[in-house]
Amino acid sequence: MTSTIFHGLLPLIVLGAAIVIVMLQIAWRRHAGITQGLALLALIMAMVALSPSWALGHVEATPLFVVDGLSRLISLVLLLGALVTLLLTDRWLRWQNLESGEFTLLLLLATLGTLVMVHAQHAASFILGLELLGVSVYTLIAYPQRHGTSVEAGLKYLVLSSASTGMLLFGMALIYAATGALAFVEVGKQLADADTVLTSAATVLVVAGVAFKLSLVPFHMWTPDVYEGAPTPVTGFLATASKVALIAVIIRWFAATGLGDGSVVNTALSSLAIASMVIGNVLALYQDNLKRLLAYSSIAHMGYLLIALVIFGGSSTGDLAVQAAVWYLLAYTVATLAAFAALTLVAGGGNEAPVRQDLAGLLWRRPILGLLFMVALLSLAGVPLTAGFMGKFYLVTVSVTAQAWYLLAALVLGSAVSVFYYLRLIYTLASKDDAGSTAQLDVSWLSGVAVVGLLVGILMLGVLPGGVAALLVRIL
Amino acid sequence: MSQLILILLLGGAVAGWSERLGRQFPPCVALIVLSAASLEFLSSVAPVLDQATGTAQVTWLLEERTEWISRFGIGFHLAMDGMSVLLVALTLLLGCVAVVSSWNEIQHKPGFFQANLLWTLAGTVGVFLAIDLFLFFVFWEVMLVPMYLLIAIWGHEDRARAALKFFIFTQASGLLMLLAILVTAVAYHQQTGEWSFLYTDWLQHPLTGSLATWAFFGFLLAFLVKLPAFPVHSWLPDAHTQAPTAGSVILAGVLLKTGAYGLLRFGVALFPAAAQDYADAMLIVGVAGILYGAVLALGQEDFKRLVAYSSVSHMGFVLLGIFAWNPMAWSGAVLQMVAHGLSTAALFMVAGALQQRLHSRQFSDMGGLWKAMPRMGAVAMFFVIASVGMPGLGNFMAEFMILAGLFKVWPLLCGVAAVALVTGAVYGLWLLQRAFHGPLASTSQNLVDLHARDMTAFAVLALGLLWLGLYPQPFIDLMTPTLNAIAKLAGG
Repeated sequence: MTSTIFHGLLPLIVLGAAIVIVMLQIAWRRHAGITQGLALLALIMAMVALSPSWALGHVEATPLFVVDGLSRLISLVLLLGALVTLLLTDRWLRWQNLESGEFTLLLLLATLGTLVMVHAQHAASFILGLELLGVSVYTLIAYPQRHGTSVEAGLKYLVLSSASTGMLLFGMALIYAATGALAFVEVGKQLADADTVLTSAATVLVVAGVAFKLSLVPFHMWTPDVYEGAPTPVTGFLATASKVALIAVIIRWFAATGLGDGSVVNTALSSLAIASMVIGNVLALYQDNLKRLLAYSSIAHMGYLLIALVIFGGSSTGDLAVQAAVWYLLAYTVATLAAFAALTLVAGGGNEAPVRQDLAGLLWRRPILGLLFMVALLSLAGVPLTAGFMGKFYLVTVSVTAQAWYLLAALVLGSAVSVFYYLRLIYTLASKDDAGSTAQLDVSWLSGVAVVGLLVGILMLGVLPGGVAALLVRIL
Repeated sequence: MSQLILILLLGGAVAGWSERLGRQFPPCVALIVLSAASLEFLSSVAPVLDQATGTAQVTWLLEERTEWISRFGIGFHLAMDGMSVLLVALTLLLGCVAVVSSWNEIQHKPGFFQANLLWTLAGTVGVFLAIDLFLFFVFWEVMLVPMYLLIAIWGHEDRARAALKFFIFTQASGLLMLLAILVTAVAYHQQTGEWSFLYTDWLQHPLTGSLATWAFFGFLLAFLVKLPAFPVHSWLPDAHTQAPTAGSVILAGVLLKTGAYGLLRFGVALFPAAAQDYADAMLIVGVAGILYGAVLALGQEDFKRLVAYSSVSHMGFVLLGIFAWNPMAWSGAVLQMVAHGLSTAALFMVAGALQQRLHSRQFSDMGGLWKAMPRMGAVAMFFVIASVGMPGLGNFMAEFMILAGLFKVWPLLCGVAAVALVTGAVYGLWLLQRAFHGPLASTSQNLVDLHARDMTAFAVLALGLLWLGLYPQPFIDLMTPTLNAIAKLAGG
């Protein structure tokens, strides 16, 4: 292993080592505080370990892994997301009486899984990361065993997610049958001589498997139930980290193999995108339970994001499309994490499935949390000066450049519908009526840091997007 | 100019914070902020008022640019010409009036109320000044969110629905405008290889063909919704009726004008060919709005709803003026924006004052109020008559110029539009009669006449209307360079 490769993979190595240390610590002596402190340290160290690698450019780390601008940026996002989740669960675990160290350990394992996916350039490492993430997340979802709903959600996710991984594996196997290769680049090279029927079928299977995990319509059925049943901070993690990592690896897969180029794949992806945008938004209108509402909204957002991938797969505006996808991921992640952060801290120990009325007057009762939730909703709705607006801006620019009018029509329609339920929620937040008041929980300063960080993140990406936009041009 | 917007934005935050010192502080702070903004505005505009610079296409008095998102060539680019001077002045003036009208009305969270008011005004001023289309869109939405909150938090009984309707209409049509902006920007990018959202750059490389028509439709729809024009006006009566007084004043006085401003500045100038193709259709839409608004105003039992429908009718004249396609009618349209802003703001203040005293907006609860509150009666009469189009007051001047401009183009349609002057008189006078004449209907002990503070605000508005009506030449001179430049672009 040369020093370049070592530096490139340092974040993975740091995180992997930290996991072993945390495990040993738990075996030696259970103490929630120490475990959380170590995990916090591990995530920060991993972020620090990212920094020397920025100067290295494109590194072929092993046949399995590649380190480049995309992997670094997305790794940073994922580590930050995990950090936010960890900070939020600081008191939450105590409120829930769940203060055994495994929760934190599983969170780190899941994060390692996402990092592995982000660096993957080979089917083996892709599946390895996906399963590491999946197994940790099943357990995280079912972690509060006392709650029937959590166990039910965990089981549901386990069964359906395994089925979708099966599809994905089958697709990969078909590609191997057609091309004799598993490394993404190698697949791309062999593709010209391969049987197109086989590769098209394989791509559709892979897309279906991925669509399942991204909860795109019609593979979305599990989403609302799992989101509702999972503990709120885990839902936030599930809604962001797993999707971010998957999108990153799909971008890499399309870029290396060129499999997103065919008309079959293109049609399939476009249909998924349009269906998700329309159906996700329409069904969100009928939700009163906030976690279900956010579940349907995330379905719709994945539909929006898919626009960039469709266009990336099939046109010459590739660079802009990747930038759009990455920007949208950033915006979606920060806003979704913010929404779930607010829900976590509002619900606290008691109410794990808050409905709209529980938030009445939140803006007056707990101004910072109310503001965070409001800004998150505005960002999800795509109102200017928030991260979400720039995301929509990128998507519309890309679609206009590629002249994808149908996708655009669905985007506009979906956004117009979504305004309705986001706004209704904002109205509830600002209403005078204080009926929904819950017990005052003292939020730790660590969670406070996460809240302020998310708020600043959404607004910075919206008000001063120039720096990050230029960064995307440079590294992607 | 950026200082002006900054003062309003930061002032909003200060006004919100000042509630901690006491409930009476936020309106004072808001008034101080608006005075500071007005001073800043006057001191920057006064020295350059007769020194328009620029190319043949544009006549900026002031211009400033800061880099913002260089990846897409987007700048924080503001510029001011005669037309925007007038509209910014109107915004600041009506802002002060709105603060005065909310002085006693708003008891719930007055700090946040004034903050939202000032942020809406900041967005509106931004809309009138931005010449980078991306920035324009951002301001377009920035004025929307605080306005939504104004209606949703401090509105009347049916506020949730009205606020949502207002937001969805504007947001959905705004998305189409964003689409149109990006279509134009991408076309510019493909022509030149550079990204730019700058108005003057776009004028150098106009969009042509069917894409231009579609882009024009995107802009048109957003502006027609905001104006509002006949088939897409239905958010307005609800929003106006439910909004608190200050919200109605800002909404009717200023926000509606952004639609007309955008249509004239961007719709007509950027897509002259497409706009002219649909000019006749738009004239018919304008007349339909005039008549429809007037007829519905006749049937209203609710004071604010009546004024709201009369707004639809009066803004129809603005649409007529714009698509009559000559500088005379355009001057009339801009004058109408200002005059309608002043007179309708006053009428909404009267409605708000009545609501506060009677807890009702229904005519059935009014009647004979002149006896109890003579000052309010006189004020109402003045502004009703102004709004009806009494010669000597601003609205007459504006409508006359629009009709005269239209007569050159389409005499028959001009005749139809003029019918509205009659119906306007009918519903205006009927309003006066039912609310202020006859036997005193209300038994309320609360019928206090207008406060000196309110009278000052009304006096300022009345003076403005008199000035517009008796000596409009300075205003016309101010906007003529702008309108001539647009005429050159439009080939009219």
